[in-house]
Amino acid sequence: MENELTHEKRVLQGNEAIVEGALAAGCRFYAGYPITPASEIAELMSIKLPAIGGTFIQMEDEIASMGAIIGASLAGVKSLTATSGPGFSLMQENLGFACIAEVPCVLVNVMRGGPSTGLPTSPAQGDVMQARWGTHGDHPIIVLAASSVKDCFEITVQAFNLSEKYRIPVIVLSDEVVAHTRETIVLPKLEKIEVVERIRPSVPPEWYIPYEDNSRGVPAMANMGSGYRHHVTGLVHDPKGFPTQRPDEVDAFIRRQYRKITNGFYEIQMSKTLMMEDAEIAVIAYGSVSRSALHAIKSARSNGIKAGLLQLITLFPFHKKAVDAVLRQCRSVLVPEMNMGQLVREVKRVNLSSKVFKYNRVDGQFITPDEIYDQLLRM
Amino acid sequence: MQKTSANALIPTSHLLGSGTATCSGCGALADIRLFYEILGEKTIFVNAAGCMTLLTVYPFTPFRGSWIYTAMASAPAGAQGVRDALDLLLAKGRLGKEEDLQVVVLTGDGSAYGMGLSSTSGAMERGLDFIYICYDNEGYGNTGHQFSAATPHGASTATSRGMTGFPGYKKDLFSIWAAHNPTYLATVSGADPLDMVRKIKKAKDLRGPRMFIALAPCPTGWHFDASQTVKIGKLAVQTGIWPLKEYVNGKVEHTRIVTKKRPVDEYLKMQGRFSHLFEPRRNEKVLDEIQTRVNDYWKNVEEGE
Repeated sequence: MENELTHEKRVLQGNEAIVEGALAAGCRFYAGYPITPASEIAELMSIKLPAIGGTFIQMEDEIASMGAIIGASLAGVKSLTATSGPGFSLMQENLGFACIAEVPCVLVNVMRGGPSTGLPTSPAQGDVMQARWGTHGDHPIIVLAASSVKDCFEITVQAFNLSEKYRIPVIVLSDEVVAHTRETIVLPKLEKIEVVERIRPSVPPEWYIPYEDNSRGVPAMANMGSGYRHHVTGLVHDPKGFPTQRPDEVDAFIRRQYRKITNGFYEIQMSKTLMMEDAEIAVIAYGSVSRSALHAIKSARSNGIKAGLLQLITLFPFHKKAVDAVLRQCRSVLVPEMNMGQLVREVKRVNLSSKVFKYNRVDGQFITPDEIYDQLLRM
Repeated sequence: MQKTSANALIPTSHLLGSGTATCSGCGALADIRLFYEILGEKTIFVNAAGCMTLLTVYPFTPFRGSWIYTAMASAPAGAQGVRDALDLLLAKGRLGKEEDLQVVVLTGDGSAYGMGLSSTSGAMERGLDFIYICYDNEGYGNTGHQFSAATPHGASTATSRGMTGFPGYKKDLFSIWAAHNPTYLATVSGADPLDMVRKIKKAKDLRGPRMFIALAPCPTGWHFDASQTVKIGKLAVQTGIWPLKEYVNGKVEHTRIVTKKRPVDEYLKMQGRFSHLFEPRRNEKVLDEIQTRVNDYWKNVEEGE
């Protein structure tokens, strides 16, 4: 559907860019619950979605919001919800359901200081591990981190595409700084944006096996109500979608879910490197902190320090390959985070013998370029 | 001893500290002031996230007693724990009878009408001895006034900005709560302090779930001048939009019956959230519907009594 607003130069805040990205990616259903600093996403969706024939619905809480987007996605409509810390916690059970039932959907978490009500609304990156492991049980999941308004747009599009392609919920982590910063952004023309749709069954309904394995490990997904029998359950299920406790089926089921993501590492794991060619020290950062890091390494370069940046866009599945390359090349690495050190552990795990420093702020304040530069001088 | 005014009902003392962080003209604060004045210092407030969470900003609190903040969905559950612990201490003699506290849940309509309803239902089902104050400002005031289940039909909010405003209807929380058969249940308005004080005093001496829904005109979310809060509160009653009633022993009684009701227009016109129903032209359909629903409500009341 043509959206006349999406090919021009505009000044948007991160939250607004997420809305533009979602609409460009084909999102036509939004369910959410008000929470700062994510409310603007709902407010803008409440205006934009009905205007293009989509549905905006405000639910009674975040449990319901997540439930609604799962339902909408099963019925065949790309769907989004957005929240912040406390709401993200409430969404976890249904998020697990979306994982086990392999329901494509996108969840934006605009991080603020926590736990509980925490710091409404100061920036933080404390939900990184919750995004990976917040819901119980073994499950693969895709977590992306946006660092700018442009990122918000592009990563939201990517999130929908990956979600559709791999039948998996995708979490977009933003934070209060990214959400409320206004920047100029040139929105690409709709026809220039690659939009991926889930693979729907090509066999007649009577031949359809909803969770049948294939080479990609991603079963074809029929829209509910399209004539294909569709039994969706939160119980571990066999290829036909019915509950099973047979060890061989259970094992195959869990392993297929991991396999489908491992098969897609080449495109799921996204990162950017800057000035890494001859770098001797490096910063590994994500989200808004990577912007400070970029400034810091530029300052370092102008003072003769050979510093480089690895910005992780995909946090999970963790981009070991990119991190390993940096760890091998550099004598030491800094991981600045607005938490007590969550992703730094993943970095350290890649190569336990490498020198990895951490720099953390948990006071609700943004990490500035100067702070990172000071740390670089000590490395 | 509490000072009382000439009519011997409305307290003139000021137990609640001044200078809170609420918006000027906050109707909820006026409600809470009266509640606090009558319930007194020996209270413990259990709050769910909302505007009134901002009453306390370090290092200041307007309350002389304790305050617990819970998750949005679970204030009555928090109250259950507090009440049970107090009872335990009382039974063991570790807390004197005179040291006992009144447990008061304080939430906005977002929690009361929506995500906290299950927890409230559970507390009433267990016959928890507590007071519940819902300050109803008809939207999520604290996050920028998005609509809630308490938002009236036609109102414009941050997530219902269309030509006809909020398409839904205000949830009948009174009836939902009444169906639980609590010890006491009433609607109140800070703009009618006499009625309010009488009800609070009545509830104070009872035991079990005592529930209040207090109208809280909100200048920030409803878009009117902060000086008009009381006037709007009065008009809500005079137009019949906010019925003052109570539920005791299985019976609903209206405590203020306005014989000559003013047209709802008078109430709606004063608030920016309804301005799209008047400008650029009157939306007769929606306005008629609002008036008809009010008329029907009172017709039912008259026939029932």
